[in-house]
Amino acid sequence: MDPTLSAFLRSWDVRLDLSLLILGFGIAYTIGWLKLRRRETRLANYWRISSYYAGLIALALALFSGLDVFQTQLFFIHMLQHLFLWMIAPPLLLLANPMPFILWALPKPERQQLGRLLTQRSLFRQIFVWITSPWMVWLAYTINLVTWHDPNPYNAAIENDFLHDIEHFTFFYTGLAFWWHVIGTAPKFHKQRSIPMRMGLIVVSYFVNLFVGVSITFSPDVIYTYYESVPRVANISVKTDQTIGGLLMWIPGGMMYLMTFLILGINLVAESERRARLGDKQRQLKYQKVAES
Amino acid sequence: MIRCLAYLLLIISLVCSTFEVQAHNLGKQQLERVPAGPFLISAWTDPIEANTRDELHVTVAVEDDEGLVLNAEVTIRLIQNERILEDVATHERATNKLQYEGRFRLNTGGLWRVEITVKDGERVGTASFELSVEQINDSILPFSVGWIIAGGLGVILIGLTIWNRVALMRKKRDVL
Repeated sequence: MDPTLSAFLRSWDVRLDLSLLILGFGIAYTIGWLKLRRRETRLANYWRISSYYAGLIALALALFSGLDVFQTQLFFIHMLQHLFLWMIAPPLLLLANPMPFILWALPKPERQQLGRLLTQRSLFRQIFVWITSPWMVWLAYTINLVTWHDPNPYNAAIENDFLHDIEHFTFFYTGLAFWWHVIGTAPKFHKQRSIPMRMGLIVVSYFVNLFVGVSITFSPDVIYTYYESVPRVANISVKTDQTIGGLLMWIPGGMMYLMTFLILGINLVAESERRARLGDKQRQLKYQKVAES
Repeated sequence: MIRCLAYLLLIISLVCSTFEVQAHNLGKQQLERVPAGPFLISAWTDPIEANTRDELHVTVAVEDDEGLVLNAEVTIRLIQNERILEDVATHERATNKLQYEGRFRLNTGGLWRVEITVKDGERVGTASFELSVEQINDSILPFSVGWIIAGGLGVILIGLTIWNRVALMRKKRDVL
């Protein structure tokens, strides 16, 4: 095996605090899933729990594997890590509809107490709903994406652990909030957004992603100058590394939006067909009633 | 009880992820691709502020004309007046397996000279830098502040859970 690839696969930096957090959520989801499965199998099905585990694995890979270790030496690896944090892990976790399962993992009294926090009148919910309104979330997601790819904050974050943690934290949580609106999973605090509106959210985000990705790819100079100070891996020059990173953001990143757009489009067609069928049935019934009378 | 423990673990990890910001970057860069014989040497020290309490990690990357050198023998020496500490840096110790890492426990603060010698067959190169080490007396607390807060929160959570249970049982008993 190529020594660089072998080193990449053997390089792990497992952080106790974060691994406990991931493990804790994995256990909580499993307990909730088992409890709900005993009551009703439709909600607690196998693809949901598989999706949740896949999301946690994606998160662990982004935070502990060679993706985290090599990001200090290769820009494109850092870009790949960010894609895992904001485009792969959040949708996988959300497709598993984690809220009811995590709630069901709690003992009844605690579950009831938490439920009280989520009632319509609670201040917590009112603040949460305001902070996480779709356009507010989109704005935070976009500002986050553009800001952290600006060379100054980027170089500062890669040299400072605390800033780097904040960068990853904001990538993951803005990603989670953004995909929460797109997927439309629980808790459904906001008015149910129509599919065309969710498609609109995807389109505007796609263009922001495209703009940043293309700018990095075609930049004539090295913008992330930090990488000039570190040894080159596999003889990939700083400029080539930057171009690959930009391409990763532009093409696979863009594909994620396009795929989601297509899925939402299919759902839209299916829904309109369902509505049309329902309308036909209603009309038939009406005619039948008229004919009978 | 298992649930309480699960909560405790969750709280500890949540709090620790906020308080215990570890160096998952390489640390402080001390040498930036410095020519040393036929090699280019880069070196980092972790923690960022070297001190007498935490173990000092010295990470080294070696390059030549063809790229990274992975089979060299890297020796790190820390020198202060008459005192010399020496360690052979290895890939196994380094988080990034393309680099070499040596570890030291320093009992005295002040200025140290860190000397890195790289040998690859006949080829030899040496580079050095000065490292300021802060003298820190051992804390009277056995754990870091983050862990103490996390433990405290865990205890409060367990207390609240038990309190809830007892209140609920009393209520049920009163109804009966």
